[in-house]
Amino acid sequence: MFSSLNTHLAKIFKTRNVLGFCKKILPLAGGITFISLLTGSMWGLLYAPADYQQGEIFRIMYVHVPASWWALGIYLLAAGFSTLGFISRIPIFFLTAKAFAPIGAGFTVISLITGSIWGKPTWGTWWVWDARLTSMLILLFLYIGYLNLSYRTYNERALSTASIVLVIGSINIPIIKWSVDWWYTLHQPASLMRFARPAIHSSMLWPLLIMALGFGAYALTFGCLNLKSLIQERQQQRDNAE
Amino acid sequence: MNACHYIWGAYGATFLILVAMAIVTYRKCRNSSQ
Repeated sequence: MFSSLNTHLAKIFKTRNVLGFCKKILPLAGGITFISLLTGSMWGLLYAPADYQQGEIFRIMYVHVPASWWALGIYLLAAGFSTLGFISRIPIFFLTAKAFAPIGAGFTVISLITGSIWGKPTWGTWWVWDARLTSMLILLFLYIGYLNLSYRTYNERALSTASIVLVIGSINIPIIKWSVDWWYTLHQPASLMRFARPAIHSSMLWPLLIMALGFGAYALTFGCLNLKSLIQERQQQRDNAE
Repeated sequence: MNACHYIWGAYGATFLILVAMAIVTYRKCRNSSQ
């Protein structure tokens, strides 16, 4: 069963096909990134109503929440590609994980910085060692660990070894997601990604969704650009070795 | 500091990191294709 799956995957994820996809998607994803981030920021900063409890400060949500969602999403994506790489031994999966990981790490940094800035006026402190914040910091360390191990290597064996960090570290993702429910934390529980109706009014929700689209399109744009350069660098390294 | 300072701080830091990542990625791609 696995051998036929591998044959299909190898056909679909040929380097040439992946490069072609990246080239096609780049202008579209780039355009969506620019328009969404501009519209979402303007809407969130100027037109969304102030929160009845937090006042104006809640507007930090429009950068903090999408960055946090995609930091987790990209991690899952990279861990998923690594798992596919382990199963199929197709190197492009490891390269894809390597291409998207720096973007996820950047989003994690954004999430931690903006969260800290939001925490000072609302909680009275920049940082607290509670479950959500600590598990998010662990996510950053996992990204850094993976990036360090996979730095400047295109070798399938080395990349697959580095990917073990990603796959084992995925256990941290549900901990981050449900940390606010499992433990008493300063961080508020989920308002949107929960098994009930969103606890957020549509006038505040739309700019958040547009910003989330913008962050996702940003990840796709620069992840694809990164993947393109990794494929080219790997080719150059092979040419030099021959 | 009032709310405005915190909001601009958060947006400023976010877009600074996004632009920095975009420039680094773009330059890396340009160098690799030469």
